Formats: sequence, structure tokens, C-alpha cells
Amino acid sequence: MADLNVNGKKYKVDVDPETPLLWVIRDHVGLTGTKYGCGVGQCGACTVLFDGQAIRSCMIPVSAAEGKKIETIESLEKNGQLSKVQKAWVDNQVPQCGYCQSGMVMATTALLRNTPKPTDAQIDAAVTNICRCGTFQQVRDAIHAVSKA
Amino acid sequence: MTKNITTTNTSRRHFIVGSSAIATGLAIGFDFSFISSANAAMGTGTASMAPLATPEIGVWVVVKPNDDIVVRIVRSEMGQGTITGLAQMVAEELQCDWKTVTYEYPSPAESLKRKQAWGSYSTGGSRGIRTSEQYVRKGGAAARIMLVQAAANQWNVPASECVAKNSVITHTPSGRKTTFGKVSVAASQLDVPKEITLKDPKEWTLIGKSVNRIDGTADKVTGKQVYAIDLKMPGMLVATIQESPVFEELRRY
Repeated sequence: MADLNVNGKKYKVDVDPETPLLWVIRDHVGLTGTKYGCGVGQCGACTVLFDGQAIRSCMIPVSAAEGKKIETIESLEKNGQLSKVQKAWVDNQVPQCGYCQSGMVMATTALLRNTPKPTDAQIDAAVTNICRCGTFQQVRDAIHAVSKA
Repeated sequence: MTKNITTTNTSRRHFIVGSSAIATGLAIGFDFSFISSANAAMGTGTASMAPLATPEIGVWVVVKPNDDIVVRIVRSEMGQGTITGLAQMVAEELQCDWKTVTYEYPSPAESLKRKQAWGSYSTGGSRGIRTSEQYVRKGGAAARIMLVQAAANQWNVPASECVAKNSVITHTPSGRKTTFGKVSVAASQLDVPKEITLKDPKEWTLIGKSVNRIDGTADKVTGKQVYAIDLKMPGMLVATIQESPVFEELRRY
């Protein structure tokens, strides 16, 4: 049994404490915007925020997530309004297939909260997510667009 | 997590036989109305597969009375922009206002009912556009010819005196105008023309241009886009390979 706070809502889930947070979010909480990619913390498709920090939810046992404030991609759109990052993603036509983009958007959201005007080097250091479509340049352009707005 | 796995009595043979029965069911028109599989594959993320829009002007184009254009697309979107590219090709020949273009996905069952009117649904190997560009452009051109003919019939003038641009049809000698939407029902009653001349590529204004995608970019940044891994069906079970917990060389079976 684990008590979770996901996007400001409380959930009580009956799972093995070793279950990766990713699968609890997807299968038990029922929010499928967070994606499974590699399962070994490399690709970042499963990125969620953990007390504001971007983490890879496939590597976190649910037991470690108790008492933390978890934010997923579903929390960013408020009253039908996209967040600044999401809007920049649409304006810059970043996604191709889009599978990795929830993770990209979450990693960027965490970065911009602490570093509103990141340099390319800071972007490279913070957004290490992998996109097989190859949208890296568009991701960078969109982040700079948010900084300038 | 091993303890979460429920062992059932399904033999491998039973599983394969059962799976092929399901596959056959799909091929003869299994009712898919309760899931969003096709829309999921296509990028809209909407919850149900609606009946095809009307009135259709040939099989590729629908012009609604309010001038909205719906282009039929049967190739899957995997991120390369196939849906948008194919819609651009149809719109180029249709001479419609690109800003009003959306798309819809005729179900495979609909395709069988209509003797595969839209051709191949296969998508892969960078062939989504290459192998269908000729006939989708002809589909757009046929719809334009029908819409222009419908307008000409209403004005009682030769169609050759009328031109279509940005979803507006103009009778050049008199300057009379109407819109695609106003003649769409009449156009839908006409025969689809057989002789179709496509534009010279030099005249293209939309094909080859980089435009915003029409396949739901916002859904891809909000988590709403439904991918195969997100698909839930009533009573769905998940089959997965149970791998050996021991990583070792295989000695024998």
C-alpha cells in the first residue's frame, strides 16, 4: 500500500513497494501521458517532477515516492490553457511522433522554473532526454522561445 | 512483482488459435465503434470512430455546407507528417482554403464495404506519400471539377468559364461567385470525372510548403495522444514474456 500525491490529488494504491513509480502512475493512477521508453533511466520518456525536480519515474520504486509532490504532464494544462512550455512546443511544431515529448516538456518545465533563461549548455545539461525522431533542435528553439516571451 | 502475475491455463496453441480468430474477426468487419484504435493510430486521440462526414465529393473529399473541408486519409501517421503531406496534395488540386482543412480516417471495414475505394492502407518504408500521391491528387482534382460543374449548372454557364480558388468559384465573364460549401450537395450528386489533368508542378502553391501539422500537435504535449501502449479495451488482458530471472548461457532445452 502506498499513499501518493499526484498532480495535487491523493491516491492510495495497493502495489508491491518495489513497483516503479512509472507503472503506478500509468496502470494504477491511470494517467498514461507519462511514457515507458527504455525502462532503465536512459531515455527520459517517463520524466515526471518529484518535489519540482525532473526524475525518471521508471527508476523510482513507489515506496520512495510517498510524501513527495509528483507532477505529471497532465498537470500542466490548466482550465484548457496550455502552459508556456506546451504552447511553445505547438508554436514551434516540435513533436513528430510525439512519444518522447511528455518527458521533454516535463524536463524543460523543471529547468525553466529554476533557470528562466538557460544557455544552450544549460539546456544540454538539463534536458538529456532522447528523441528518436530527432527533434533536439526544435526542442532547443522552443525553450529559447519561452525564455524570450 | 512476480507475485502479481496470475498464471492461467492458456496453452500456447490455444493462445495462437484464439488470436487468429480475433484477427479474422477484424478482417470481416468487427465492430470497432467502442474503441479509438484508428483515431489513436491517426493522431486525433478522440474517443470514438464517428461515421464518415458528408457530403462527399468523390471518395477523397468532403465539403461541408459551411465550407469546411475534410480530406480522407488512409495512411497511418508515425510522426513524419504523412497525414499533413497527403492533405496538402489533395488541397492543392482542390483549390480550397488550406486553413479550413481537417482529415478523417475511413475505417478498414468501410474500405471493404466500398471495394477498397481508398487503395492501400499500408504505411511504411517512406512510401506513404510516394505510392499514393498520384491518386490522391486526382481525388482532389476530381472534387474540384465536380464543384465547379455544380456551380456552372446553377448559373447555366459552361464549366470552362468558371475557376476555383480558395474554396470560391467564380464565373469569370460575369464575376458571379459562390463557395464550395454552397454547391457541395449538388456536386456530390454528379458523376466522378474519369479524365483528369493534374496541375503542372510549377503551379503548385501548397505542395512542398512547410505548413503546421493537422494531426493534433497539442495532444502530443498534453499526454492526451493515445499510443498503442495506452490503448485500453473492455476486458483486455495483457500477454507478456516472462523472462528467466537468471542471466546465463543456455545449456540445453
